[in-house]
Amino acid sequence: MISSKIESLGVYLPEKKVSTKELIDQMSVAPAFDLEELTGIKERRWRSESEDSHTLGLDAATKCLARSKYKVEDIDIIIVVSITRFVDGLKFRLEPTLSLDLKKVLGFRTDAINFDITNACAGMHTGLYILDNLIKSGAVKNGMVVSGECITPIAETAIREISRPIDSQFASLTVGDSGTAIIMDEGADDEKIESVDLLTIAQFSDLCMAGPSKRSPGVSMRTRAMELHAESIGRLPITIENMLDKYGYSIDQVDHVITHQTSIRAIEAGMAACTAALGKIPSICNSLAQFGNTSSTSHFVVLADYIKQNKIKPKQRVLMLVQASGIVMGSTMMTVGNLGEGE
Amino acid sequence: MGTIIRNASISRTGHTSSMECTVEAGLACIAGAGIDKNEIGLLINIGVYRDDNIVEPSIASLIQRGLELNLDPVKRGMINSTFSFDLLNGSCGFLDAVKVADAILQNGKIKYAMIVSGDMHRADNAVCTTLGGAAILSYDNTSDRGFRNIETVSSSDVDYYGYKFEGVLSEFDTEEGREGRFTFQDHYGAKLLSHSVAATTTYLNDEALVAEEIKYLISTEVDKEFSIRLGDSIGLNPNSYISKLYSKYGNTHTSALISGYVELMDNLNPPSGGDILFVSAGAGLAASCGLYLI
Repeated sequence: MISSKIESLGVYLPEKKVSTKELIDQMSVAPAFDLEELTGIKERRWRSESEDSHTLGLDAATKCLARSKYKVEDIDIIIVVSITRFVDGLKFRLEPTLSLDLKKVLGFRTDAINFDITNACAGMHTGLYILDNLIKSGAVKNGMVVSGECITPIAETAIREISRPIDSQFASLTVGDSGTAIIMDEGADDEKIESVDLLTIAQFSDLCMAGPSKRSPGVSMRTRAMELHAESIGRLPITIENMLDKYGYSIDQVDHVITHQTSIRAIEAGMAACTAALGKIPSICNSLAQFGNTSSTSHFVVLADYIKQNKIKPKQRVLMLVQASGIVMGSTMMTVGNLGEGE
Repeated sequence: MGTIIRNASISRTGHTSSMECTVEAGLACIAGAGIDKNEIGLLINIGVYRDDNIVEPSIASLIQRGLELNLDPVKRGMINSTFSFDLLNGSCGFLDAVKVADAILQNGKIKYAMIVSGDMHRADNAVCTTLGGAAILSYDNTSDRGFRNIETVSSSDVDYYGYKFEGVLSEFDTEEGREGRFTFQDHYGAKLLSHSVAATTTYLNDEALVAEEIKYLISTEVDKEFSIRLGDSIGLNPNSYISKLYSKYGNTHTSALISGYVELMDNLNPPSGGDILFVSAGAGLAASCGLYLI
């Protein structure tokens, strides 16, 4: 069976930076803990007034196309995977799809397939999983997965609504805005997606829920953080061990691990549990300090950041660990090609 | 060889929750499929209009919990697991989901895939009536049955989209604001029919199919004439079966093709062979076509 690969990567980050201290200073009640120390997040990027899910995705897709060998009219499918669906500023849109907007504005063929995926912070990996399968089956030759993640409105709601030192919206203060896009096509021995292994532990699907807030004009995310943390980290080592067994790898064949970018404490706890079960974990990547939790784009923001710093190099094997509301768990493992300067 | 529909079901009418109607259809579908539900490795929800406009987690994960599909595979030794997500493409989602499921089934990663549908919105001008749908798919290596190529065509007109559904964030402090609203451009039904006829005609030509030989047409029904006019315009044989469920259910949006299939199977007694042409159409404008050999 053929494999697939990431042929091009584009990441767009808004220029504006907002520090954790600036966020805390806007709150009427300070958290009962040091948010910056707990999360490792010093600052995150913040949308400008003219930016939304559509523009963030468009800017990432435009960068991705500029680096690709493909012209837009050569691409068979576009999948948009962001959690947030803000267009024309802050209008929440369900139809027409965000993928159709990008398909039209970027100039895709009218017979290119398009649809949107929503799967919380597993969006990029879900799109990658779908495209990997479509390429392997021969249904398409190539395709693009895009996320324009305009997620900071949940932080604005948290700042407005949190009234106690312990609150279910504190996780909303970790997020930052971004856009990521990948183009995928047929892989090669030294440049390919080696596995995409995802599952949904639906027993805990209600531990993190987001939607329109009933308390103020905004969108809110409410998380039972302690339970989510315990249930997902407790299951992480078995999930990875199962994947490594299934695909015939051991952890020492991996060069870099990129986790979901929630907080430094959660990453350290998860990696400690994995080290106990699997042996020494190689380089653990995070870009929390500069970008925070960019939700569905997080692994690809880190990938681009590490490529730019020349810490992740062509032909190295990267294991991305997925953890998202749902609870979605699993991984994507790839041998990366020459993805340019990353960001 | 191809991806086949092992079983399909719809909910009762009258639900006021998209989650409830979808789970009801899903449970009926599993019960009638004669399979071990733990072997459903993929769950795709194509419903668009969801309860309370939830954006996270996926509605599919909440439906998975309602269906009790591999709720905690880690605790059960990772023998089986289900991966679920939402696929949104308005009323065209079903054929997209079939295309995705077909690729994953062909690659041998899972035994069964399940597609669920259902929408609910209270607005007077909502594009959907509430009806849950569910279909369980598998890959058949032993016969000619199943889906053939699926094609999609969207309009090149960047200014015409038919209708939009949006909610304004700054209005989310009112119940009406949180629900969002539909806004329509002029001549939506006529333009959608015209786009769908062109897309279907192109599909028939590309697939070297003769319209007169197609026995069954199951399509989106945005009004009570849509499927009949589509059938007439593409040159379907007057004796061919055309789905006409609008007067029974209204525009069931993401459930239209599944409910059309369920109705056809109920009417085919005894079951007989032949081709079903599925056509979905909706906002964008967009239309998808797929041939299915029963």
